[in-house]
Amino acid sequence: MTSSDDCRIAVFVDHCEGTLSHLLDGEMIEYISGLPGVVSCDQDENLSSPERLEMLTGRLAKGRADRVVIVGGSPRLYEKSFRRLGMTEGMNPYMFLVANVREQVAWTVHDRERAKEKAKAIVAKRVREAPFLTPIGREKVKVPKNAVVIGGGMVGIRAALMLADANIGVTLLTRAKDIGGKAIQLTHFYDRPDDVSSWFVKQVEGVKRHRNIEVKTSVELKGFEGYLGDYRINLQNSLGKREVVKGSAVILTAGCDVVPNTEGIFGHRCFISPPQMEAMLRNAKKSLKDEKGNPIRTVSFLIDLVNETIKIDSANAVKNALLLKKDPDCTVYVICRDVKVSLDGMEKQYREAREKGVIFVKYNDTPRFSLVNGRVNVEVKEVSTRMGGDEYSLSILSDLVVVSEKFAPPQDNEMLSSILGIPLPEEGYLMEDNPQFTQMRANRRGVFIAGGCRYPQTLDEALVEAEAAASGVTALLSQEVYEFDLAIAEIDPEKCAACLTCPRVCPHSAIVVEQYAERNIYITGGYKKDFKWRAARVLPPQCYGCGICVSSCPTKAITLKHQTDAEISLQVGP
Amino acid sequence: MRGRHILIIGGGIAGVTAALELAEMGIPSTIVERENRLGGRASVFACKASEKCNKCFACVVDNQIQEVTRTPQVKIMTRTTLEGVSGKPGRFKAQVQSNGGKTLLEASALLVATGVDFFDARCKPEYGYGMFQNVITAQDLDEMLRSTGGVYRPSDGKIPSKIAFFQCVGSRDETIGHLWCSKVCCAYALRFMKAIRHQNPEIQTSFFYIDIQPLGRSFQSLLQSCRQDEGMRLIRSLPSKIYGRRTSTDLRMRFIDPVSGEIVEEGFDLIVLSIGMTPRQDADSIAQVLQIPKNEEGFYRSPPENSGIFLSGACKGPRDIANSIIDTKSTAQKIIQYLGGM
Repeated sequence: MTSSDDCRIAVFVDHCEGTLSHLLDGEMIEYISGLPGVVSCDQDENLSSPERLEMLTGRLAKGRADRVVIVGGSPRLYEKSFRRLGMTEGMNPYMFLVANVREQVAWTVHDRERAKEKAKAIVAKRVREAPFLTPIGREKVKVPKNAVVIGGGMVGIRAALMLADANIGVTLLTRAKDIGGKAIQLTHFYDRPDDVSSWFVKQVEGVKRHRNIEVKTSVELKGFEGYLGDYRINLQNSLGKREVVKGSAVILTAGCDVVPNTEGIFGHRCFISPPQMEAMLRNAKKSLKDEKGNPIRTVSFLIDLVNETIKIDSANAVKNALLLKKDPDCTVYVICRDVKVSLDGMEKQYREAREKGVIFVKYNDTPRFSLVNGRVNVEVKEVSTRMGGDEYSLSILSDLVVVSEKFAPPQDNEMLSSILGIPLPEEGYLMEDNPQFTQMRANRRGVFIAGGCRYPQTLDEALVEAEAAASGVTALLSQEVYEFDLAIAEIDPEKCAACLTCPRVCPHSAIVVEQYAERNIYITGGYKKDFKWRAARVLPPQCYGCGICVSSCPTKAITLKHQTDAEISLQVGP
Repeated sequence: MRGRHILIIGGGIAGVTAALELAEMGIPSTIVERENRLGGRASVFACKASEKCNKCFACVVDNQIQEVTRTPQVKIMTRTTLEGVSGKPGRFKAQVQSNGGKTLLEASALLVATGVDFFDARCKPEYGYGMFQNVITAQDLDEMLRSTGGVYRPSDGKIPSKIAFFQCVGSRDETIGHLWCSKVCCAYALRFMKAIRHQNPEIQTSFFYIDIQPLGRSFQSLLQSCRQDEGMRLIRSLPSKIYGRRTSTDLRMRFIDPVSGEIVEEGFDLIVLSIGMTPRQDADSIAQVLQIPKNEEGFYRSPPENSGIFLSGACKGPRDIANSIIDTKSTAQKIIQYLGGM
């Protein structure tokens, strides 16, 4: 700490466009100017605009102040522009504090005298805190232009291609024997005439030919460590051989699990899954035939039984119903809770299907199933035909029922979550750092998640996500180095007991416990010579400076550089 | 990277996100916005949190706008319109007009993020919007919630006791030729109901719909919590007409009750129309200037990749804030690809 006699504090009073003028009157300015260490006190109407702030800093240079206290609104209004300004003015960007009299006083205290007292107290505390500020430096890590994409499905392929085209070297990892994933199960796209297989082959070939992409197949993920610019992924191939792949950033693209519904009656041969239907349509000449060669006259699509809010089933059912209806003798039912048309162009297809004679039946209560002479009887309480009573108003006899699959969170997610340290909420889909502000960016800097491991989505949506994740990586790797403020946690290894509390609570996997020295002060009786003293260490590029580890450290070995204990006790103290 | 500059047309959430994303990649850009402020349609939305965040993304918009005004690589021109574009892909010269003055801007690529219009509920006279004071659109409700922090009846300023939400006003409607789903309105209205019921559990809400359309990651839990709430009725039936008197606050309608199967008449004292999205009225003028193809509905279709013109956000078709942001990020990557990498 610098003694308050040595430091020179410049106070800027922001009237927030006149809304604080009643509080920050002449008497207040006089009071502020008289506080110890204050060398100047300037006023302005609206400091939150960067231009005004810049003007004031001109005065800052003249006053030769070394710290700044802004009296006005929320710190968020000033932080960013002030930090940028501080850098150009040769002043450390962290040598500033905000006394938030707008939210804490003007909006909450209505009695004028009490409000003034409170405002004075807040400003005085801030001015008292200012001498405790310490300059915070910046650090750089090298970010070589290479990335790792985990998962060789369509999402992984798209992400790899996008990155490779931006001149970033990509290693594409997949557990399967070849890249491609599940997309090949489709026969047609719902919204464009191209057939899937030629599109698929083009994408896969594109990856294999690209000079910036290296593909590693049949590899299992075994370990993951490092930080932005230096991630190291441990792999094991099918022969049990281990290897390490390096990358500056990582995109994780695991699809969701799709399980055919074969419980109970759904195991009967009359019930098939959508991929089986796609295969039948691919192979069918003109009309569908069963194994014995008898024509299939009635087909029902049964959707929304398990996953009520997934639009993939609905889109596929409408698409396949239209294909089936090319044979006019075929009767097609779509039995669903809601027809999901929230895809581009879907409403039109839904209407076309109805015009062609596809019958849409909607239910609220689960239908009943029975077998009648080798055909399936589906009894439905149709919502629009129910005129009172509780009977099953419709019974549909069909030769073939296509039961939609269960979309479940990938079982791998648990493994991925534990290896990569990405949080896994109850519903089983991987979670980004903040679902609103940092979509797809995981808790570790430089790790992105995209596709079905976030939630089940259509191919188009997942591909857009892949591109967006690639853009996140491109932005991080666009410069030679990644520069960040050292406003982070710091662990004193002399105090650390290596209790492993902090690595567990850290939401960003930024703390590792490693060997620190050759002796262990905690073993007092019987000193073992070969015992290594371990201590926790913060990986600076990973740390977001949130302070969770600081509050949970039992030995008080961790400090937050930009928010020390001394500063906090001054804020909450008298 | 030198000499690259992107011109972004439209300063809504898509345009603003694009500018920020490009700035992070080290590419400067200029946003041309017709109105006098950034944010577009999304900037009037209010937070719809109940006991927990309902993921409406309204706060993200405010955050992005604040962020972009403080990003030095982004030049913002409000009250400015695009007049014409000359030059060839990679070296566009765009003429813009602001406050009567004309400026020539050079750009390596153009990003169109002009967004959508909301459906004008007056085009469905049977719902009486504009005639009955207590029939409002969801956007009116949003502005009310944002400015006053509560829900009130426009006729007398009292808190309503029964609110009905009508879905698909201006979407999925052949009578007005709108054969598309606006995608966002179901989740939007359900979030509204959650927020209103949380603020005032006395208010009974009803949700009249055709099909519930899922949207985004947490929709299942949102829908489930709505179904469990007894003060929220989800009714699969769209009333065709609203009956009311100009002087009375009571609005009546008839619909088929899906439980009993009978036609019932019920009164509400506030009716909220969930209006859909339509292509912008001036979509043609920009489409002509830039030669952007359009689909049957009137939304833009992506021009060929080598044209140097990119689209993002809802001008391609209805989209919510979350999807507009993801879509814009993906477009930023396509621009990088077009510019030949980093």
